[in-house]
Amino acid sequence: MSRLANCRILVVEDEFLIAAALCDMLEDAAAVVVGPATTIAAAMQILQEQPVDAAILDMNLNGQWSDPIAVDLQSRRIPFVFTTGYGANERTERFGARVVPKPYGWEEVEEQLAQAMLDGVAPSP
Amino acid sequence: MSDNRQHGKSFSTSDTLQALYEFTDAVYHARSVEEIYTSALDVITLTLRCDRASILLFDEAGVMQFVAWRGLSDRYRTLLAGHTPWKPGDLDPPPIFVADIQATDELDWIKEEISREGIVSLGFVPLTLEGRVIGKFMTYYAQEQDFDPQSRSLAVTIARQLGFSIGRARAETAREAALAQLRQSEARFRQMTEEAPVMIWMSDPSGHCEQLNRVARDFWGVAEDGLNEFDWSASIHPDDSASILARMGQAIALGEPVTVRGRYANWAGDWRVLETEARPRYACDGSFLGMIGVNVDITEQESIARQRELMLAELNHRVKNTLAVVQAIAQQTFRADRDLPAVSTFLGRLKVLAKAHDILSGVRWESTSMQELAREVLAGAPSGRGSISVDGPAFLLAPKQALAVALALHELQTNALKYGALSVDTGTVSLAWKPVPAGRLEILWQERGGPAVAPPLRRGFGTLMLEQGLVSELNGSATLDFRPEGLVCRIEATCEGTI
Repeated sequence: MSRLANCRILVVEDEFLIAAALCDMLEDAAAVVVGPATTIAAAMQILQEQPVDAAILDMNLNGQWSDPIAVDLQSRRIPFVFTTGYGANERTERFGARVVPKPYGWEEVEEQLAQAMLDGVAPSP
Repeated sequence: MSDNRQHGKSFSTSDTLQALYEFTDAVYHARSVEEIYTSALDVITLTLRCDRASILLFDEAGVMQFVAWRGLSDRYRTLLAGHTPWKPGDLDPPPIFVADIQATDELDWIKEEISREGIVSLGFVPLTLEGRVIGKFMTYYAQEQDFDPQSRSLAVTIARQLGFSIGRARAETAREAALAQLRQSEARFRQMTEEAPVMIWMSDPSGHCEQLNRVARDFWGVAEDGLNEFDWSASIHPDDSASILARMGQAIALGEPVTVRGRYANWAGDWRVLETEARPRYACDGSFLGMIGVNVDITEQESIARQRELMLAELNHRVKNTLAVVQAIAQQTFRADRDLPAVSTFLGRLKVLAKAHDILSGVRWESTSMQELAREVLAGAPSGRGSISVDGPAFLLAPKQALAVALALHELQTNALKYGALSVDTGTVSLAWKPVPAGRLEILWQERGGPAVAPPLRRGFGTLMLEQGLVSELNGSATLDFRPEGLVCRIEATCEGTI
């Protein structure tokens, strides 16, 4: 039984192919995919309307930092991991979030996401 | 000075003293060396009772030259210039008094010339400066003289006063020349600093600005006479202020050079990035006078550098995103066969490629150290059962070489994990490198203690990558030696740089 089984995971990723692969992997792990959202607005909308247990958040969406989503997730006490092609930066520290550098394997995403859910949510800054 | 005193027999001691006083007074007030000569000839002709006299000085070539005279013909002066009983610098010689020149063993032509000038008797009185001969004064008489002791010592007294006065006049001239030169040099340096295209400043020991050149005054909009009220520290950006003031304060306290960089508000209130290089300056006695420094406005360079940084970050992001997309495609394509070894091999290779890119972007695609590369690549794969030792000196690899070496190490590690020394607890791998002559780097991967090794039947991608990929990428060679006790891979690369 996967650690993510039946968890509602929000996928925020602007790259269609990566999002699709992530969704497949989550489904294989028996998780429930929420999204995927490709914009900040779409992600915020989903968070308002649907229950979410955890999120996989691309740090940069079409050239925009996804900070507002991270702030929203934190205020809702929803654990999340950042995925990024930039490497660790000041955001990782600010949000105290785990980072999965791109390109990543499924094992890494699953491991970090499961850990993040165990960590709970860092208090809002 | 009256003629009757000059020729009268009744020239008394008090008259002589009076004349000496007048002479002393005259040379004291003299404004040029010519005035000194005139006063000297006055006192010489008056007190030593001659109509004719002259003053001669050694010129720069050491030739005795007439500088002032009375009652001498041009011919005499021309012919007898240079004629002297002393050499320049002779030490305090006594004067020479000749009662009758014809009675001496002087050269005949000289005697003839002297006689022709109507001179019988002569006095040679040396002029000295700090005890050394610089010239002489001459007295000439138409009649034979007895040169009594009193007139001899009087001549010496006048000579001393005259020598001293000439020395003083020379010193004064030299001082004025030096002063003029100094003024000129100061003006030149002032102009140089004023017109320099960078900001130049000087501070007192407390760090207060004492001097700003024009570019600096223009930057802050400070008038030349407004420096007292000027406080440069108030113009520093609030975010940069603490660190700049702390570092500058430390440099002042320790008397050390310092380089600081930060934003300052210029006269218009715009933030400009200035890079300051400052050094302590000291007085001759070693006491600290403050700092002297140069500020260069690097705002434009900074923004170009920042843009470049952003572009580089964006490029890295895109490269990695592309690799992530390739990976996603692969994962989806092979979804059904996810557990096939080929899929994980592919994903592993893709990951190493990304890792190498990561390392290279971390060093801005310049060059990367062999140690870091080895550490990062080897740490990327799940740890096996054996152990790996890594040993080698600091060595820098160009980006292309770094990518090739990263992929090669990954292949070796993967192979060792599956079939080699890292597949059993007792296995060891030694990775070592060393620079070899002609700018080449030798990398040695040696496995021991693993299962017995047999050469593979089929040349796989890994082997191909090692044996052929490396050759072209590294402009070098790679040999795989499947020894029974363990695989040995020797890679030789031509490298540009080492540390």
